[in-house]
Amino acid sequence: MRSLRERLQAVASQSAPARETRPARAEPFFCRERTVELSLLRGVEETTLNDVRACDPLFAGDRWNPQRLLFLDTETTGLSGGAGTIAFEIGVGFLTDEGMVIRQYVMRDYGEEAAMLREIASLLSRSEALVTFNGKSFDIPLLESRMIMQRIRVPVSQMPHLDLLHACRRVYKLRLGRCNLTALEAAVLGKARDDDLPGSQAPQRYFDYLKSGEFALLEDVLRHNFEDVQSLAELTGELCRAYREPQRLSHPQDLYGVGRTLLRGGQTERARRCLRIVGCSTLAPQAHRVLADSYKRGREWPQVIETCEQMIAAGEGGVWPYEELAKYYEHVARDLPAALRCASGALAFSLNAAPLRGEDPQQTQRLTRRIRRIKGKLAAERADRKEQTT
Amino acid sequence: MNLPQLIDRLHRTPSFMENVTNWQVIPPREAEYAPFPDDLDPRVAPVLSARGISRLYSHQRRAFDLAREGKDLCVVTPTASGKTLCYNLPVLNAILRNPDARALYLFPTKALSADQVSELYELIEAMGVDVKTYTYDGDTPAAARRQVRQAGHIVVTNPDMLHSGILPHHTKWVKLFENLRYVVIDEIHAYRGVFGSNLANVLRRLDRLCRFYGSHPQFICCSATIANPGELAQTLIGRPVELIDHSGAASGEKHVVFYNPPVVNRQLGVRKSALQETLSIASMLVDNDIPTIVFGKSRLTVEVLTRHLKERVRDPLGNAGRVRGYRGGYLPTLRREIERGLRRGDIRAVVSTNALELGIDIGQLDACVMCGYPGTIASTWQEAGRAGRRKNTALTVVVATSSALDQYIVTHPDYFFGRSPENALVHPDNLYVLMNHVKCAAYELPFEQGESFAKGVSTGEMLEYLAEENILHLADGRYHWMAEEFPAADLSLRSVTSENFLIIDITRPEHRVVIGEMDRYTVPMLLHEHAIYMHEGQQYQVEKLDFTEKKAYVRSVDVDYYTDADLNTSIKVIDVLKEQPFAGGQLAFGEVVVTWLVTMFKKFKLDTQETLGFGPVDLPELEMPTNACWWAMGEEVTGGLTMDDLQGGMLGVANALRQILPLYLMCSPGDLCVQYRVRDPFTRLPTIIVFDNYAGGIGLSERVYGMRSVIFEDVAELIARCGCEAGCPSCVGPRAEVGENGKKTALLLAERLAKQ
Repeated sequence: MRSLRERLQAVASQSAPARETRPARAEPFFCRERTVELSLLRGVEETTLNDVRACDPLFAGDRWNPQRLLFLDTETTGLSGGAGTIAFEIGVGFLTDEGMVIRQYVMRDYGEEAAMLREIASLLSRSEALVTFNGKSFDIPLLESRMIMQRIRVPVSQMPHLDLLHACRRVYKLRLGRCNLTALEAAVLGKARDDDLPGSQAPQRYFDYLKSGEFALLEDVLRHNFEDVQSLAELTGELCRAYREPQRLSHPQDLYGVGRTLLRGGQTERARRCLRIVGCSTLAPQAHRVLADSYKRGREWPQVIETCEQMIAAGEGGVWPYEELAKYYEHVARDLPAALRCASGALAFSLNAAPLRGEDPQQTQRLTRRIRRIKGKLAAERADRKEQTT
Repeated sequence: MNLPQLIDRLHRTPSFMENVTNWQVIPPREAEYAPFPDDLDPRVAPVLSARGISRLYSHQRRAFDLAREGKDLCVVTPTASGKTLCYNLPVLNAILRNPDARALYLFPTKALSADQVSELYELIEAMGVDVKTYTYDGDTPAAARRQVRQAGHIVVTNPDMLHSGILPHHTKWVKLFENLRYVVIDEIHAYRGVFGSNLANVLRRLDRLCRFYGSHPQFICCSATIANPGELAQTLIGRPVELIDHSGAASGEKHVVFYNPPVVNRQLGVRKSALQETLSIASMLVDNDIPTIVFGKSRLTVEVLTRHLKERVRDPLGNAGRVRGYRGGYLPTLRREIERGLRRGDIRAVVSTNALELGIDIGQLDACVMCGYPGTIASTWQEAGRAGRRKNTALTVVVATSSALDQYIVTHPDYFFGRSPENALVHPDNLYVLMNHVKCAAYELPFEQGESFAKGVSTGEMLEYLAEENILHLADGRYHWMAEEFPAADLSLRSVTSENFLIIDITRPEHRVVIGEMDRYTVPMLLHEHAIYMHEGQQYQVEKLDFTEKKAYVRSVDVDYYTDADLNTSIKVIDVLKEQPFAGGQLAFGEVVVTWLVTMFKKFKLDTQETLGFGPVDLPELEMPTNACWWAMGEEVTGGLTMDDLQGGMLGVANALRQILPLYLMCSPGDLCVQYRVRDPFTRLPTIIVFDNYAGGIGLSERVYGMRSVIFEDVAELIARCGCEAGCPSCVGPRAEVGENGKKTALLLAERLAKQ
């Protein structure tokens, strides 16, 4: 694929990037290729379809071959997402036996866009799935829009697509709050970027380059994008491992996220195992509640009772476990005295907690109504029994 | 009494008839029908028959036939003549035959689109066919938008949304653009001035994109009566149209009465107030329970009339809901409620500004009273069209004010009935407007070198300029957008910005209510601190105006006065584009910046209109770039006049010019402004200035420049013919304003100017 000249340029740029000027125009667009060693990519080459389905329960593909993935990140002339916003740089990565080949395409002027997009289209057609960060709402619609403008019809948005933004949010949101790429790199990959060009400055750099012809202006953009693409692979590796070996996660928040996502993906047993571990941490109230809910959905009543009773014993979850038990005794076990006991317990708890947390009138009302109904049913039952005996 | 009886009695009432300057009876007209076309989809006719339509009106059939021939067309028909079928039939037929076909409907406002589309929904529902009609505007939920873009057969929207929400995102609308068969533009008479100039450019952008996607939509435009519907449609869509201006719908007998209030002071030329006369005529109609609409020219008039009429119908329990006010500035929910009340007939009388001129569905009323001539023949017919069901008699009374224009019209009925209504003017090649749209267009699709966007203006030069400014970038023969901004976001299509001020009632501090909103250009006039603001007949005093937060806090009051603010206008010349020597001075045309500043307000007693006092207003000024034409007068004109006389004379000429120019230019009086300076800072001579009242100009003052001095012959004639002694509102303005010699001097100036 690469010409000698291009490789020479790549070598030259690595040794002295600052002095490089606009590359020669012989090629239809600029392309720089470098390979990142496999050992740096946190096992992305070992990921499987099962891992990915765990990460993203809605993943649309039915195949996942790490060597047929396309990692993709773009640098654009704006954020508005309308027809006049252009991806002037497209970074892609794909895995080979040696490592990840990262190719960075730049249109040296608007006239090169069509050829560059055709190249991307051909890469896409050879790939089975896309991996991006926020690509579902930004990069991919933008590429699709640009391809329509250049009359290249590739159904990019139909391709199986793992959007790491959403997948990472599910696991790390509770711990990190904000889930942008920089925060994830720092917290999950333990990497910090040195004098990184903020993404927001990329458009102006490109416009300055167009005016001056100084290709060196784009070096910072290319470096930023290179690291973005590499991080896509690393994050994919990290995420998949989190699902494969959740016991190795050191933060209960992450494990809680993994458990909930597994639950949503229908991997109930694995999910419960995670949540039971979280149940020994400071996140116990949330974990137990999700667990009890999952048991309830599976109509596994002994476990529901056990978990709720544990919660009550530990003072977790407020009136929730009391109410759940009351519901169970009233509607499932039809043990009205037990139901009344639990409902009254809930009300007592609620009123005891009131001076501390402030009264929740809706909750009090709801509980009172429940108690009244159970009492009514009890009375009717007693009357029935009396009638039978007489 | 019913209306025919009432009309009969008015005829026999001398005290009424002596003020009537003209009573025109327009005879009823029989309907002209045509059968359904043979190639109409068989599913359509039965559904129409079920709704009582067993054949078409002739104009509906003609619209269908022309559309089938592939023509672009413009239909001009009166209200209640089945206008919507003129476009719904061809569009439905096209979609029923080819489910891939798409149509785009444009209405000037959201409220109108909701109204007109309901009829279409009913038809589609009754046919039980899969034709998806979606409204796409600011209120469409984000979740529904994808569905609209992918599957909507008929997309209903407004020019603003097309401009900022659809065209810049055209790659998300591929289905629509590739298959666009029809573009329907309803109420095109609303697109005059800067709004029309903008729309014409939005349509140029639409056309570029359609060419890109390989579609060639046909246009169907609908207009109310104006002088130049065909020309307007052609300017808007940029190609010739077939005009259908003969309505086949039936109409009842119409009486149009010109009523001139009696003169109460001959010397001062003062007539009885039009407001009082309107009130007594409207009261008579309301007392007889005749469904009536009353039009006032300003918000203030509307409020005063509403208040009085409500008093008139108040029942012992204090309910006066039978009479309602209606104007822009009322919240949309309140307006919808009033419209519903009118359709149901619960509301028997409504007092409105021209907000109800447009095709909002309020059903048909029987009588219409206008407090003052609406300013244009077109508006008058549109307002009069609100009265008159298909078979019933209708009455329209135009009550003249003492302004020269009103007086001219009621005393020259031939002018009104003989002449065609005004032109709706648009000037799409206005550089200011054009430049903004060239940017938007470049954002949407790069310009090819040599591509032409506007026929009259060199697109190439504009593109080069934008490239020099580093907004566009030339590469491989195409101009590409090279900026981070989203150009459509910075451009509002309407002259008035969308930044409205909220009006908040704080009468009960614990229960603050938003009672209305107002555009920022009107705020300094009506919502300055201490102003009396009228809303639904209730008076409020403005306690605090928060200009940065765009909020006005008002408190309900009951006082016997109203307020009126003084507007100061200053004009700065930016560039002289054309110039010629004229009477020792010059006649020139150029670009100017107009600045408005409100500095004070006056209080007037409600019934006698006497001045009670005044107060200061401290608000930021407003600026507008526009075009102007001015006459700088040398010695040959002003020679031998004292400063005082010159002052009065120029005011008189300006006043008369203000009245006469609209008749000449066939535009509405609000489209231009006339100012004078005894010593103009730019020309250093006594100068009379005419400027377009729209940002960027709409070509009016350029036409005034072309008329040179001809206009002053008519100014002189108007002044000479007026019967007053030394000035009245009907010629140069009242004596109190122009001074003792004002009328004489004005006549002298006009005659000297006319001779040049």
